This record gives sequence, structure tokens and C-alpha cells, in this order.
Amino acid sequence: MNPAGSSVPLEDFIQAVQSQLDNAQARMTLKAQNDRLALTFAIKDISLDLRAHVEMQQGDIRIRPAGANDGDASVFHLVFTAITKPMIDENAVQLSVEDDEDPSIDSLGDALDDDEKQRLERIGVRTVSKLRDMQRQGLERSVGRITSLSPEKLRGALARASRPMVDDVSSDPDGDGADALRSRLRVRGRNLLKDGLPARVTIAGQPVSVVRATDSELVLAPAPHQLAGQMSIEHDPRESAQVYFDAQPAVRPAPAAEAAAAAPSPEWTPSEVEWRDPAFTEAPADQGPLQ
Amino acid sequence: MGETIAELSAGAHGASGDRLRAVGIRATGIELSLPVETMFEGEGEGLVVLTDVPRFRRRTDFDLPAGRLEVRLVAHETGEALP
Repeated sequence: MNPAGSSVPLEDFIQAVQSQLDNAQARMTLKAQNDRLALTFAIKDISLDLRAHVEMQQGDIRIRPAGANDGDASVFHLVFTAITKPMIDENAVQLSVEDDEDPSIDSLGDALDDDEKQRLERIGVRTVSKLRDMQRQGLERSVGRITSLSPEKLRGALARASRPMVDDVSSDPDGDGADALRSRLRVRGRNLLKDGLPARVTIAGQPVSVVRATDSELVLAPAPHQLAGQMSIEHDPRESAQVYFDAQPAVRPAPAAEAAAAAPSPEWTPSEVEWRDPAFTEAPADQGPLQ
Repeated sequence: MGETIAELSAGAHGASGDRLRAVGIRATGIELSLPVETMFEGEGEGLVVLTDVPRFRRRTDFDLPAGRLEVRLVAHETGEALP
């Protein structure tokens, strides 16, 4: 039994009723099939007067059924009606798989608190792109007035959402002939373009040229001394991404040693190759067992 | 609640339905309006709404306050899409 005096969210209650109505419909259909009846009954609608207390907790409507001798309870009148699939499609909120291209407003992190996110969801703003669209349409003030969120707060949240994110920095191995002598860095991530322009990139405080740019990848042309250090990528100085990287080539061995390493002795098979610690001196074979 | 509705529907299919069919009458719909006591069991996704008709005609202070459940059922051919 539900703990005495505890309330349940209205959403859970509606979902529970829907699930039970589905079960009832399935049972009626099965019975008709098993009894070989030509006709069966379908639930057209149900109406329920529930004696309950209605509460608001942190923006959620919760209901608590009235107990025995509880004369002060409200009457909660609910009507459920059967709807067709096209009606579901027309009225349901578009559900989408979590998409990197269109993250939900949860991805704003602590730029907005849970209550502020809920206020945006109530006016249908569930994704960052939707919030950005409203800003582009100049609806920032209207949104702010309805949700009690200041335009500065919304702008800050959007700046946070559109800040560049870096997943990987590597040297670019695909340089063409003309670029063969120049180093290239490939930066993979998100939000690397804003309004069609690439983010500003600096390494150790000095700007770096961007050779190619997409929203998920930048190819940079760093100076020779910019192949390691702190990289800063930003559209807006308030929201920059910082990453430490090291793409300097490994120290190459001397040419003679490299050639020797490249041409292994033909008599050796991999199982015969062994590494010896030069500091270790093997005992002479004729010494006999150690005492 | 689901079981209550399914049982009421089964009753319409049962003895009373047979009698109607015997005289060539077919029920095309059923409307029920009955007092119910409602309780919740479980929480979250496991929440179950329990409704049942009051057990006693005379109410006492120990009984849950009765609400009302109204159900409209419509007949349709078995195997066909719901109306």
C-alpha cells in the first residue's frame, strides 16, 4: 500500500490509470477471442471522481487520496477518453532520441537550475536549439517575462551551450604536398563553428590560423613552437574551452640505428627476439649451481 | 481499476448478454456509473490505482470516502480496429 499520507505525482497517477485501461482492454479482447464472440466492447471513455488532496511541490502537482473520515478532501474529476493514433501524433510532444546536434536543455548544466529548466519546459522549450531560435526571433524578453528568467540569464545559458567543446587534438597526417613541410593540428569536438565562423584559437596566448573548419573539426596551421601547450578555443571570451596538448613528434633515433632497427636479422623469428638489460651480467656457465 | 472494468464488461457479455442475444437484441454500448473507493498501491512506475465498489451499504467513519467511476463501453467486432 502507498505509505499513509504520502502523495503521488499526477503524472504517475495518469500513467497508472492508462496502463490499467490498456490491460482492461486487452483482457476484454482476449475474452472475446477465447469465447469466439463476434462482438466485444471497447472502452470509449471513463470518468473518475477521486476524493483527494491536491498539493503543489516544486512545480509538480501531486495528489493524495483521502483517508477514512477525511471530510475535507477535494473532488478531483478526471476524464480519460480513447483517442486514435493520428490524434496521439498530433498532440504528443515530439519525442526524439538524444541528439548531439540538438541537445536538451539539461545539457546547459548548472547555467540554469532545475526550477528554471522546468519553467522553460512548460512553454515548450526543451532543447538548446529551440532556446536559440527564440533568441534569434527576438523573443528573449517575452520568454524572460513568462518564465521570470532575465535576458542576461538566458544569454549566459546560451553562451554556455554554444561554447566550443574539444574531444581530441592530434597532428594531421593528411597534409597535401604543398603543406607537407608545415605541421597541421586537427581538433575534433563540437560547436567549433558559430554563425558559420570558426572559433578563435590561441596556443600559449598566440593566435593560430584556421585552415579548414566544420562544426566538429578544425584544422590548424600552428607555428613550429606551437605544437604543445595550452590551447584556448572560443567564440565568446566569457565561455572558452581550454585544453592542454602535446603534438610534438617523438625524438627520432639516429639514422644508422634506425636503419638497423628497420632491417631485422633474417635468422631471427619473433619468438627468438629477447631484450637484455645491459646492466645484468650473466654468470659463467661453468660455475655450477649457486650455493 | 482495470480488473473492475474488465469484470463489468465480462458481466455484460455473460448471462445478461446471452439473454439479449436470445431475443435478437444486441447491446451496442454500456454506460456504468458506480460509487468506488480508491486507493493507491506502490510508487513511481509501479503505482497501481485500486478501485472497488464499497463493501457495505451503510457508511462508517472507518470506510474510505466514496468517489464515482463512470465508464462508457462501445461494442465493436472482435479482431477489428477499435472504434
